[in-house]
Amino acid sequence: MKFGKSILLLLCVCLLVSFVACSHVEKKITVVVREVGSGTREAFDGMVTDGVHFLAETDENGRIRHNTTASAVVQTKNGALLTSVASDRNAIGYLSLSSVNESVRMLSINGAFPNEAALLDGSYPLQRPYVIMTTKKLPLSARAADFLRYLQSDSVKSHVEAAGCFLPGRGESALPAFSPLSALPSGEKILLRGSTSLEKLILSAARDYAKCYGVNPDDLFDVQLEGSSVGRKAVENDTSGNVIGLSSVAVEADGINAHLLCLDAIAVVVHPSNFAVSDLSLAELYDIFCGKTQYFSAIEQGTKES
Amino acid sequence: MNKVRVKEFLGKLIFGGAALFCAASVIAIFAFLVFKGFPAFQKIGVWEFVFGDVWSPSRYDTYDAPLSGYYGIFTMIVGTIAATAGALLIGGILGYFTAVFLTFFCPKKLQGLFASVIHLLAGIPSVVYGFFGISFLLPLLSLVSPNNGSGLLAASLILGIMILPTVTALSQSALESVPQSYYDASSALGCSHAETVFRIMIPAARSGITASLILGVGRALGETMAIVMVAGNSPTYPKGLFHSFRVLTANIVMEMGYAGEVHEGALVATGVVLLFFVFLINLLFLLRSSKAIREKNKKTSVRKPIVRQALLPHTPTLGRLLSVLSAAFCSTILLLLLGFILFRGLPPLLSRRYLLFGKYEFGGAQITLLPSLIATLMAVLLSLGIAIPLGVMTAVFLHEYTKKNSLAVRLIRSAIDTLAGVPSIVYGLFGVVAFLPLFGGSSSVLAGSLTVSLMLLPTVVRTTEESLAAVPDGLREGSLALGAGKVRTILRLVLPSALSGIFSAVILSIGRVIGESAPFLWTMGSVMTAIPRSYLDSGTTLSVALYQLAGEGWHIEEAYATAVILILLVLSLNLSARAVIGHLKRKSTKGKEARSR
Repeated sequence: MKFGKSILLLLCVCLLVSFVACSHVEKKITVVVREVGSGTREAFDGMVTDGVHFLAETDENGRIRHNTTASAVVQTKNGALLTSVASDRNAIGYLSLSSVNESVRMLSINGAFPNEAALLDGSYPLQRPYVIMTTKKLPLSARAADFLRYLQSDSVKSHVEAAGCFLPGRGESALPAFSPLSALPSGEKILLRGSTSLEKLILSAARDYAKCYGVNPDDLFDVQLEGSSVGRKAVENDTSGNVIGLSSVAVEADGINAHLLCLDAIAVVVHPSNFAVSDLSLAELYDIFCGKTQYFSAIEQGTKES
Repeated sequence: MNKVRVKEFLGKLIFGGAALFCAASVIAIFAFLVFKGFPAFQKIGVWEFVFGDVWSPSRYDTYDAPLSGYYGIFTMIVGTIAATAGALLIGGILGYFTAVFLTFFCPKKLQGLFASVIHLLAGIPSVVYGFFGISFLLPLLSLVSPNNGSGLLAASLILGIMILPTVTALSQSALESVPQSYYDASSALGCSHAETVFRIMIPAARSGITASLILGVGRALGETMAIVMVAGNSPTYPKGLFHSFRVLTANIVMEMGYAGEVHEGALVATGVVLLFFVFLINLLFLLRSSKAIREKNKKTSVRKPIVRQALLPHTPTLGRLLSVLSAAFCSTILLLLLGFILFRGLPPLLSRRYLLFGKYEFGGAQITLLPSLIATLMAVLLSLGIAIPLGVMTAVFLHEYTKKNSLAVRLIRSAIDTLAGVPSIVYGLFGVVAFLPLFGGSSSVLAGSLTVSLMLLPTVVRTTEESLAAVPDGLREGSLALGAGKVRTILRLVLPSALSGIFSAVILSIGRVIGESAPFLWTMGSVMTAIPRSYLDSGTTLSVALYQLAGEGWHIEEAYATAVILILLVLSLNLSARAVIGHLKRKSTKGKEARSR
């Protein structure tokens, strides 16, 4: 009897302690970022600045230094990032506009929302190109070349729009229409490698392309999307001319032909019930992500004063 | 006559060759890792690499240009040590008290029940623990934490639960091996049951318990998938219980996929550092357990001044309370984990037929697990097809052909023991640097299966050896006396009698292939695709699929369903393995009885 009572007492004490702890914690901002090496992270780190520093910059030793706060939670997938922001009232994160859904709230940056107009006239600062990469070292296989022709044709427009991205220079020069060849060029599978951010877009394009020839897309494509850098590596090591690489960040490299596919915005998102902020300047964004601003309440005050 | 001799020679050659292969693979693993990691050590500088606290790799770095990134892993070394210490604090104490409860305070009727609780906890795949962590533990912790709950506390809790079965099982066997006479003598002197347990029995089993804790530490050090899901993973020191941090294993598994030249070398070097820690721990374990054996052999009375360990409760009643509580905690955790995942995962599994039987749709939104199931099956078949014959032959060589304690045997055996202690992520690293280039650089079911078959070898060798030892010598002597050759004796008599042991090795191996995910992630494929048509296609096993689904967050119900399938598969395998092992034990005792008659 004594035994049972002491267990009960212990449990009560535990409960009490946790309740007291619950009620008195003021929550800091949870900064959620993508891993170093993802195209989204690279693009974001290169654009967010307080005027002096960038989130990723070359330091005095000629090496890259990351200024992102040490307490940031790192997620390796767009979906994971979205989930952690959607499940944490104090979280802030960023991801490709095409991956945003209604489980989070989008913020405007410098007063501009990420939409087509703001993106094309440049008033929304966080944008980046989606790039198709092919090898320069050897000619593309007939199949890969034909798929590339498809990706640069008028047909890709619907997929770009469905994925929530934007075609640059709309109206100035119309894209050529895609006319399928008389028969599907023979050869091995086309290897799609690269950014996870382009998954939706490229898969629907690939499916549609396969439909043009009436074949099963599984027989035509081998898809392994594991990040922009993986795509670059695959294109650089391409020995068959079968690799189509996808990058969610601008590419400048000797062995690679880069073809601009479309423009994407990086959206900054918070929990849907977080109305503490709705607009941030790039400098405020920098302060949050480098850990200088630790509470949403601090930003609110800042905007009121200014 | 000559023919027979040739046959015998061939037999010895084949069995010995298998054993040599096992030893060689250990050497290959180290050679490859050092070979790949050495240039990185050289380029970055050992001091800067081990004690540098900035990790910001650059994918453009090559060995013949100045570095543009920072490669210091000290934060992760600290993180690993902190997480391991936390796990030891939680899992060690809980495991210790649970073992005490199971050995001394558990009512006879409940003993079987609690034993199976521990077995089930041990069998659950680490990726399921991680998934439980992000779907149950983190939301719970975020109620009291200033962040989303990830950090040292979450990592220690999950790791602690994972090492608990190891600690419990080994401590229990240490406690059980304390002679009954100690207990009787203490009772005769008027001590109560609890006093005897905490003042006499536990101190007597001390070195065995320490050894179990050390083994638990080894397990915690090498754990990858569960901790990567709850630690937060930013490369900094763990400043506080709720602060994102990264461990060594997580560093490898997160960045291996897109590492550039120096970056990849640095990750391999991370693996080398991890191995260094694991070996340090294994060495400690060896020293400790040999001390335990020596103490047992001495058969002296309990040393008079019983040194009270700091963690030992001084009042037996408190100790008794704690042991009951921790056993209750173990069962609660198991029930919670199973209940939570079954509750969330069974409805979608049952209501959505396409989950299991749906056709894979290219780029479609529907998730089907059929490709993963088939890829898992392929991996199981191939890796077992390699590991079982090799392991069985090695065991035969070690047990039937060699004298115990000869130098060669000791070397091979220690090589196999070393292999058993290597963390699974290191196998994955080895697969990436050794097998991937063989098959054109892209991941394939073949590369993944080869990697995992290496990982299976130690289990197979040990289990088979145990069952060979259970075969009565009379059988062999009888066969030899009747004029049968050694090869014939082994193939016709010894192996058939040891069949149930080999069968249990097979079941254990299947369980491991299904449950492991770290070695598969970068060798076999990490993206859910169509059903692999050949071994050269890539594919995801169920565990990797769960890791992806849980990480992606788009298909959370499907993730629960995958976890349910995994749990059911692994648990049913574990149960059947236990049944087979039980059968084996009964058989061996029967054999002994027969011999004694």
